Amino acid sequence: MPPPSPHPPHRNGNHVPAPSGESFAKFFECWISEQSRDLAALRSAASAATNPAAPPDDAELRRLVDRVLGHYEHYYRTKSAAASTDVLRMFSPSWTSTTENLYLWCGGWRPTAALHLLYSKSGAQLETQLPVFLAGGGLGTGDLGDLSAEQLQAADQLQRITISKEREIENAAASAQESLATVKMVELAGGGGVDAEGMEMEMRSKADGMRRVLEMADGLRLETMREVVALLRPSQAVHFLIAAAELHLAVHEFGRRKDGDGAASPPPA
Amino acid sequence: MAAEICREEAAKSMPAAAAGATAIARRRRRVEGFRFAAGSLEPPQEDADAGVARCGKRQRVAGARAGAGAATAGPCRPSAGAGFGSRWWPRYGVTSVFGRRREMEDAVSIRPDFLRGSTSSGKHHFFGVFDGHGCSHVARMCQDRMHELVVDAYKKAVSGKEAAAAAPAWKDVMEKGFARMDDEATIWAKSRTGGEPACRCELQTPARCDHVGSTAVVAVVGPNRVVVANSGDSRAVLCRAGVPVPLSVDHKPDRPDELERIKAAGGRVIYWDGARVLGVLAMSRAIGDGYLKPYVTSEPEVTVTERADDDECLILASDGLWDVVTNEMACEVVRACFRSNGPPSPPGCSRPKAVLPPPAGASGGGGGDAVVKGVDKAESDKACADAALLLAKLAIARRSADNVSVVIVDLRRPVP
Repeated sequence: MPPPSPHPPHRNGNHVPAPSGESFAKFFECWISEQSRDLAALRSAASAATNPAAPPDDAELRRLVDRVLGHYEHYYRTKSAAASTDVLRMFSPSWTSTTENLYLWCGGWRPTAALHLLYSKSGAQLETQLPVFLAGGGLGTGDLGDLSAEQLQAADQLQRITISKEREIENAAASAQESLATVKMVELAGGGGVDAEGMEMEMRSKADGMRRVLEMADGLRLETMREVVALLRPSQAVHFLIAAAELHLAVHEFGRRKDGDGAASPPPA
Repeated sequence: MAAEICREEAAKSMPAAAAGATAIARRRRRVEGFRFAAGSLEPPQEDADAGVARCGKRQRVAGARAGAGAATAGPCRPSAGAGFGSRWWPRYGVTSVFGRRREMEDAVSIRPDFLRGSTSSGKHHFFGVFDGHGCSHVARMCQDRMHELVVDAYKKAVSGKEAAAAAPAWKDVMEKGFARMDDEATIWAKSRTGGEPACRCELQTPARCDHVGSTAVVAVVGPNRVVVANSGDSRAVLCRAGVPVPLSVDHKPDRPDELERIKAAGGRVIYWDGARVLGVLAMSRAIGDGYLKPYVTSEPEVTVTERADDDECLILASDGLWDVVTNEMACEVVRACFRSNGPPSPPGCSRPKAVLPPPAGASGGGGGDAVVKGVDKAESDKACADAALLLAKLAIARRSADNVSVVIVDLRRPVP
């Protein structure tokens, strides 16, 4: 169940406002509604794919998949621009719920989660098909249930690489955070923090370290998304992107309700 | 007091394990009466042809003995048609993946015709699945060495005898091979004092190299019998006439006979997130784990099963599969894959589709890190590869939290 879209559907996805530290929250709202529209389009493509009379054409699905990926890319471009003016807000986002913040890894979702999502969606679809296969039927339904050996191998390899890149970024984050306690900081703090200018300079350079961590992490998030899609056929990629959007939107909505944001739309009595 | 509680807890879980053991005993009795009589050795000329064909096509498998002569002619072939040993290459498939874990501690070793030059009783193929714990280095050592140690033990067992026309004492061979493997793991762990860390586990302080071990389930598939040696909770299952026949029984600390053995050695099984030896290790036998000796032993349990006409396949897998897929379901899945692929493919064709790590050097991993060693990906059989893949996907689908390694060996008679 997608969250209700606050805006009427736009055909053009690039209507989002220009970024700045303060307006990122607004951008995020727009992006969420854009994601809801993407989800609707992906779902209708997926259900069209089950119609034997008019099988969808791969090129058309590919265009849809590319457009959705383009929206993710747009999101990270905007986020990066916003981070360059205000990195602090990016690590304490006001636009996400406390529930979502529980799952933040270096300022966003954990990249390997994309692979777990692939495995979970693929597993669910496989389980649906299995009885038919065991009864003598086929497996080729075009969704994630029939991941090929090459695809599983590619996913496994991607997982291995992504885990090691996550570790690199975690190490970078460790260095950036440990750098809080430098000799210079000890001196400044010992002076009661009265050297405001010195404090400002030191803290800015430290925040800049975290901005680079965020950049690496966002880069890996987008790259992982792209790589997962790249190892899938267009019809499978549609299912993966549906799962990604559903999970994001469902957790976002759940978190907002938990936080009391959804007071305007209480559950039906 | 704790011991009493332990015993009671263990007693609760006894019936299942005991039932499993008797089921096997029952099976094995039936198997014995069902011995397949065909001598069935590959004709030398076929072997020679195959050898020529292979040399140009593939890189030589690691561990194959260069220069060793082809097996000499065995007894006459029965006129009934091709025997089990008539094909020159095993039909197998393998999948080994991280699954939902962040470390890869499984290792697979497949060594076709690994007794080449040491036996005259046909081709024997070695299949091993090793599931490491603590770190992956013991599993990797098993992957690199176990087959060689089994060969050594085999050679010793048959030396002096008339070139092993008679079946060697496989139980003894396997026990010696496992003991030597365990020695090597122990010696390596002891040698690791100071110096550069050679392994991930040495980065931890204090370095605990002897707190690392691996399960080992090894199958030797010969023309007439399947020998399985097992230490730990990986498992070998034979699918015969549609029915799963476990060829190993998992070594869990709460298995009644294992519990007795551990207690007799002065150890204890403590329930801490499941039954664990000294509250630490959730299996009662393994290669390595020096710090838990003698409670945890490397000594394998060995089964020798005569091959039968209605054998379908052998499944070796780590607990990543068996935790979430029953023996019955596994057999059913393999049969469905066999069915949808038609009769067994003749030797030499159709070998795509195994899930293997990329070739050496592809991502800095190098051949030394390969998850599957001994064979080239292109050599696997499609039906077996499909089955291994589907089982691994099923394990992941059922939220197995572990690495998943599955090896399928086709035991059907090839269509003449």
